Amino acid sequence: MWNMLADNMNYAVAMVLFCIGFYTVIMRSNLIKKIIGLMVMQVAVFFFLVSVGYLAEGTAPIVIPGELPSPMVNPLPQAMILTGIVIAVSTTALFLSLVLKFYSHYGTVDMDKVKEDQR
Amino acid sequence: MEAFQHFAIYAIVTPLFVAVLVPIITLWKKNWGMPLAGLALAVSLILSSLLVPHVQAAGYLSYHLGSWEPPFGIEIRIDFLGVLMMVLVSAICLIVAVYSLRYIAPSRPKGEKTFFFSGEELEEGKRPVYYSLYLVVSAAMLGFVATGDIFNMFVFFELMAICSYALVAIPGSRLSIRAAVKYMLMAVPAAMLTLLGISLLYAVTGTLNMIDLAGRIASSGYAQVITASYVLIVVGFAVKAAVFPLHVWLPDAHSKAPSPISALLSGLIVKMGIFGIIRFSFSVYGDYFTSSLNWVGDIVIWVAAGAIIYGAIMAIRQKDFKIMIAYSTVMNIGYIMLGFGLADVTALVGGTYHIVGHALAKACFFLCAGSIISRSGYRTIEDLKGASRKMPLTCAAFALASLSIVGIPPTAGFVGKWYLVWGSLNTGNAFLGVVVLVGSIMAAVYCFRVVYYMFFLPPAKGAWQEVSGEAPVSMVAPTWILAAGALVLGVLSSWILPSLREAIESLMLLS
Amino acid sequence: MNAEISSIRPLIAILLPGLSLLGVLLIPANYQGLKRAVHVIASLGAFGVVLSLLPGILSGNVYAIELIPIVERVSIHLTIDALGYYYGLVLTFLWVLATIYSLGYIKHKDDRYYSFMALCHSFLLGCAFSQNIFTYFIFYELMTLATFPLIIHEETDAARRAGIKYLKYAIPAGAVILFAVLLHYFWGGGDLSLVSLGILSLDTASRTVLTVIFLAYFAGFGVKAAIVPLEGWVPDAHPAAPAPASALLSGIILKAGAFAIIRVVLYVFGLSLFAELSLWIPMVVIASITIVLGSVRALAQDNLKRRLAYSSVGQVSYILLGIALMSPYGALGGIMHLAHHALMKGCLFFCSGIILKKTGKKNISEMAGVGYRLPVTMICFSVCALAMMGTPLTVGFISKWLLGSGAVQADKPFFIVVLLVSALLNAVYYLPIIYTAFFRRPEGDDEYQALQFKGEVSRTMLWPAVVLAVLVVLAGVWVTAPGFPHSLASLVVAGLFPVR
Repeated sequence: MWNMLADNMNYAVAMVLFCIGFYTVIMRSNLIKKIIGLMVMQVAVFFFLVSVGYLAEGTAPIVIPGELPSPMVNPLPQAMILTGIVIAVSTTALFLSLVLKFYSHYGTVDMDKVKEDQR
Repeated sequence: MEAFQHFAIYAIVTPLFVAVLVPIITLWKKNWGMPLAGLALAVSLILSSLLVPHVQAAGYLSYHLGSWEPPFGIEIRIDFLGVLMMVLVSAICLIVAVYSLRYIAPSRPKGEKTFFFSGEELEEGKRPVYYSLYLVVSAAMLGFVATGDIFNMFVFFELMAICSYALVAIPGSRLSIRAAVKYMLMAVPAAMLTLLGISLLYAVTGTLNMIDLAGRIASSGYAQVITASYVLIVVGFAVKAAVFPLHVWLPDAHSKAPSPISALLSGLIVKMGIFGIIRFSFSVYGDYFTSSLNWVGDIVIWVAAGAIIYGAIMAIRQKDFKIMIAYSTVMNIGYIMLGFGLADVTALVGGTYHIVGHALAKACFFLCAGSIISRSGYRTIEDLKGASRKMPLTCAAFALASLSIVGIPPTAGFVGKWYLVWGSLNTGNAFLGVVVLVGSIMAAVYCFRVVYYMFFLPPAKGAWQEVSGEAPVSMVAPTWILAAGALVLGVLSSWILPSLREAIESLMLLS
Repeated sequence: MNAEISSIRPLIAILLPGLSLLGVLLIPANYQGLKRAVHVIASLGAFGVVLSLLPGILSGNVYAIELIPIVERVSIHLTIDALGYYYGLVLTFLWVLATIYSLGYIKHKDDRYYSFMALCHSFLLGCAFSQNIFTYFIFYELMTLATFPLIIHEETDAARRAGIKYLKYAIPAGAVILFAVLLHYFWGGGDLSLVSLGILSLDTASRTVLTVIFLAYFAGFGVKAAIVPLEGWVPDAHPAAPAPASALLSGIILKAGAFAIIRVVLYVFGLSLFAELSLWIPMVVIASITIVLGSVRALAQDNLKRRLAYSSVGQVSYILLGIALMSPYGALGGIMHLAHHALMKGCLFFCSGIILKKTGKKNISEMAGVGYRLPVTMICFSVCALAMMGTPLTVGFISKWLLGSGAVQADKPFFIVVLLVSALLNAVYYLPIIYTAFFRRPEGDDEYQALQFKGEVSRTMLWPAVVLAVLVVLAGVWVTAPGFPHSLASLVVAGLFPVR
């Protein structure tokens, strides 16, 4: 079992990170902490994706004309996470600006301290 | 390549492109926001409609972005279900965009003294942003249903999601910000779940193309990883689709958003979540789904039945008009998921037809609610007494759409429910058929109560005095087009049903 | 002879009242007279179209037209066979009279009233001319909804409560019917036809399933057909609705439920299957209980319209009893009673409306001496009341005689007792009304002064009642005239019972 864990270290670490992030999002009442938790989740997934493309003896995936192609790490996950990072950054930016407006309305960023409005 | 092959990508890209143009052009010509949006969406609608006969003839349409061959390149793959959704999305987006014109920028007729602010009007500065975001959401939805690559699907899904968060929050008021925060708090982790699932799937199969994936999953040895990825992806989509226990964000988000956005959210965006589930289950997991994952269907059935009953009960209990309509959405999502979970072609035909019918009727509901709020500021159901005296056309459109929600023949809602009950009988679950019909009765309670208040009760003392009349034509016409659409799609269902059944059959029998 | 003719006339008949609605929407508000004229002409037109088919129907033709499919394999399919024609003829005829009567009766919110009357008319014609139960269901549900504004028309508190009660009964009933239709579709091989015999059979479905289907249909349609214990909405709806609407409610709308049950029993199930499953037993029991209970409860009512409503509850079950007896005379009696009761009860309600309008009186105890104030009205009332009791030379007698003969023919003489009891009870609750109207003097001098002959009501309200009363006698004497109930009902029965 430990061998399997060691072989698939990237899976394990990614899952642990993901769960830490998820826990933070759910259990912390402070909005900023929730956003941090979200970011941790996002990092976990991206990390996982890139690690999937890793090849032990691989080089950077650039084809140089004239040279023989050597084993390269998989560029597709890298492209995927680049897109993913863009999405994550925009989501975080939007979320943070919402939190700012939230703060200006309610005076706090703590969800527990905000009562449900009557409407 | 023939011209029509490019229609799909143009349909997706045009709104996206115009979305960038809108803020620039409105710097110069202030009022061109809506016309530009309307034009872009009209182009999408026309192109999508022109695609329909081609897709019907060939069964599916495949387009390789950048001329890269799949599975290396991103493929756009449209079957009949996809093109149906494209037409639906572009049509409803166009209609709601026209509605938005007067909603976010109301102009009062001369001599009307009191202003009723719905709290959802936008200052001049925000309007171009609204249309921009609106166009991006539309483009994202169109891309989502058209694509044949799972990561591409995720990207469009996120695009759609981010813009919808922004659109919920755009009024900037206390309630809408709070609703948007709640929405994001549930939807963003869900998106991460989906992404994790997609990553896992990629990790064990090495491809992102749906057709390719179907083959590799079938022959893969990593059964647990695949199952895990399926669950993650579906749960992620289910949050977005507001399936019963995960629907908590919906009543707030849909009721506090500006009404045209509520219409878009309830009518289309939640359906995207379901479409994602269907697409993944049948096109990607295909064989694996039908063979090893049929316990999913069993769970979904009971979740869906719970959604129907819970949504109906909560809708009946509501005092706020828009929250009631939001819970009605929860109930109808239950119907669609029931169609999915029954694992029967007829039931899924019913579920997908219900997607179409419900989108039209629910959008109409929210637009009518918006008209009433915009003219009178009344948000509660009690205040709707006697509404038909001042706003007869809007109330009549609401009554017509409610026939579809309840499922009175010959509307589109009835056709969906007929197939759902037929499907439950097919699979031997007569009890679920009873649940569907009980749901209809409960829907009649909350819908007809509103219609009764509107038409058959006199207004409360002093109420409705200051409302001078009906909403402007650009707001009434969309509600009527949608309501009439729900009726027409019921009567002329034979236009869609045969092709839809064929599409679902090939989808489900991909094995 | 016996041809199936494809004709557009069923569609025209159905659309005519609906189109009149469009015409009315387009006419500006000042031309009330024109609007009413459009409605009257449309109802006359519908009646005319239906009447024009009489010779063809009598010679055995069937008129059909198939429209678009709504769900796979099932389309909106219209057909006029003898039974459908019969109901359609009664319906359009009564509707003409009711529209004319309404001209004098309805004084407020006319537009809404006439619009929904026209819609109901269209939908009911759609029901009458349905070829399959799916089409029937569509029109039936729409008709249910369209009846609601008619019931709450007066907008009093009582009317509102009556309307909501009606919906509380009718909407779940609709869901139950839909369930039955789906079961029927599933186990009947997708054939939902109402005009061919014996669609369901034990070959394709188990006894349990067939019983469930029948009970679901019976309960669902039985709400409209006012069987006990589902008749609770009827006694509230009739007094609340304006008199012409009450007449149509009792005369036609309740019969929509009964008509559907006739179709289900005689055509969908077919007599042999019905007998084999012994489903006639629950039907006969419930019908008998309803007949007796309806009559008993009518005794206790002082409000005239409520008494008439309970009377209707009992009378509609005569139809169901006749069918359940499964004999030729029984079926003939039951089917003929559909029209007979419509004529009699229609007239009774028209008269009650006249009384209400002219004297403001709703309760029988207050109606002393009304017969002198409104002589023609009360004579019509008396004729129809006597007919309801089964007096010879009226249609009521024909119905009861045939039902009794049917009971004998089916070897179930017990039901003659039910009929006699009911006839007795009818007498007990109708005769006092006539007595009070003609032979009792009102208390107080003012009342007595008011008795002096002041003139009858307007012609528009009086003539429909007179026409109906005359017909009640005419069809009772000249029974076999073409176009009268017997000619059509016997065609229906001949098709069902091969050997008489």
